[in-house]
Amino acid sequence: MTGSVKSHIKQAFPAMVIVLIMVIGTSIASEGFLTIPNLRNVMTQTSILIVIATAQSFALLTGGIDMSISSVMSLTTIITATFSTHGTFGLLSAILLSIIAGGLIGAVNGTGICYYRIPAMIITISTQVFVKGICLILMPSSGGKIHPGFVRFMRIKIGMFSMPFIIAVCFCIIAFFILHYSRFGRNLYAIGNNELYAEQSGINVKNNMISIYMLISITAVMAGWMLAARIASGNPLAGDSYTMDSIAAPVIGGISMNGGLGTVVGTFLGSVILSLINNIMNNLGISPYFQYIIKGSLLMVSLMLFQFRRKKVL
Amino acid sequence: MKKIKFLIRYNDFPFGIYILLILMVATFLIFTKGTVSPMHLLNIARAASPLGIVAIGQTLTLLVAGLDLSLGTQMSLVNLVLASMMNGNSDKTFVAILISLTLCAFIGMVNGIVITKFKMQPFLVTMAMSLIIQGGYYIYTKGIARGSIAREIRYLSEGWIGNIPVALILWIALWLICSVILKKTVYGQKLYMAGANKKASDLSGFRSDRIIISAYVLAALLAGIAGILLSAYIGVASVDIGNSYTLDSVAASVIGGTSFLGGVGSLEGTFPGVLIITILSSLMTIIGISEAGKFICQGTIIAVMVALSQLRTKERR
Repeated sequence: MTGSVKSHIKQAFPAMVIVLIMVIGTSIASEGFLTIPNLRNVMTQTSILIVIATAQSFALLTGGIDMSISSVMSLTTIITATFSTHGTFGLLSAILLSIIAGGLIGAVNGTGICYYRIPAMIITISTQVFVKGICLILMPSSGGKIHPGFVRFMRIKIGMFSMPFIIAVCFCIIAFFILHYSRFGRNLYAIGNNELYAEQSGINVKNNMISIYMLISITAVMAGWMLAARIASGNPLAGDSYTMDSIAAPVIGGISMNGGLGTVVGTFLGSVILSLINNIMNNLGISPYFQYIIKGSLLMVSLMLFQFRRKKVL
Repeated sequence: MKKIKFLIRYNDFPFGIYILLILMVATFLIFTKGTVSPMHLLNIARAASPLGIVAIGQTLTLLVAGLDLSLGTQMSLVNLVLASMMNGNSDKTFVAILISLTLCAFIGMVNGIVITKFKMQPFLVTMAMSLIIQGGYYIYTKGIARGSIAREIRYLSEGWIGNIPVALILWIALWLICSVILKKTVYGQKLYMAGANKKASDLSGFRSDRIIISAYVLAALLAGIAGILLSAYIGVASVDIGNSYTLDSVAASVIGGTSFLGGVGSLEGTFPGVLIITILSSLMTIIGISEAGKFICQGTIIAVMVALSQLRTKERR
């Protein structure tokens, strides 16, 4: 492990402490927490968030943001629900079509950001809203059917782990290696630290940015398949609730909003924290409406704390 | 001729948007095959006035290089507070309005202070804030909207003075006041400066932080007024009723030529922007894809308009 990787992982340290405190505190406070079904449940609920938040971390690490991933997820559930049960090649065509759709949306985002200099947030909000409209035209209310074999595959349990969680963890590990041990990842960090310097040191920023945003959208498509398997149908608004969480998880995990600092390890821990909050509040019987306030405050506080610390470092 | 060209190029007044507005009205008339009376158009303007007022606020935040994504939820909050406090009676009208506007001003102040003092991205802060507001009113109402608006307040939206709706008069009055403040007062000039270059305005001797905070407070207050008008329009409590106004207000400001980088734009552009958005959504309803079509229009409009304005700034430099 090189020094730079260590310094990135250090950013995730507060999140680690929070996870430990939460797990220890809750297992003392409520008996139902440390049982295998409950833990498996927490992990399964986190898995989609882990995948989508990892995608978001790629955007945050370049200093941008991608708001469109929620709509890409919804679109994927719709495409999967429409095509996957049709004929022998149904599932395959659904997979191909959703990847093409995701790649296209990502390419639009990337092009808008690099060639038209539109702020990342604005262009991705526009594509989010646009794709949401398309989703509502394609499928006004939830419906369709997901390939039963696919749904069964996603519900396999191995010991205390469930299939979605295993996929999410594998995904996180792959993302970690891409970010820290490949040229693509190093370029991504370089762009995040300073786009101008990256350009001057010979990185093709425009091409890289477009491929990063395409990668993000295609990752969102994968999260969309997981979501489709869970809800077993297509839904035009299924992904909407993931926008906020996908940003909150990396931020809590120590990824800087200014880009170039943090790792997916932090994102993983941040996602776990968010689902633990849900689980703990349900276990303690607190009104689910408080979750909005707690999540919003947590996001704001962690932003403030990290912003302070960064200022000292610089 | 050269002089006119010069005037058009270096004048702030957004001619293009007014031409676009005329084109939109023409399209609307063609689509409805001339069955639309002037009364119908005035009714559209009446329905547009909540958006018009909240868009003024959104333009102010955009001018200080910010963005307020919590304005829509603030409108929902005002609606729920008003309806639950009044419950159809007019005794508590004044108190209800006072409380909701105070709440809005407080939210705006928190937004502004957090954004300026902690140097955080405005959209994240306001998005987190909108989540908190949403949680707040879910807890307050327990997820079920109750109550209705007093008749006296409903006059704001249903009343007509002569041939002109009261809501439209209110909107235009607020728009004129804010335009004059922006163009003709020292405060307005400071607001433009603080948005265009915060450091320079700090160095030139006024506290840009305060100006930016005041812009967020003003935006929140305008959102509160828009919420009152929206409540008067629908007449009952409804959860999440105002949330779609957030993106609409951004789209309206952006159509009007307000830049996301701050310091560029004017309320003269926002006014036709609001009308264009409203006519577009009326058109979508006529075609029969109201909700989906609205989303698609919002997305396309914001992306295209921002791309155009970015290209234009590049040319000027």
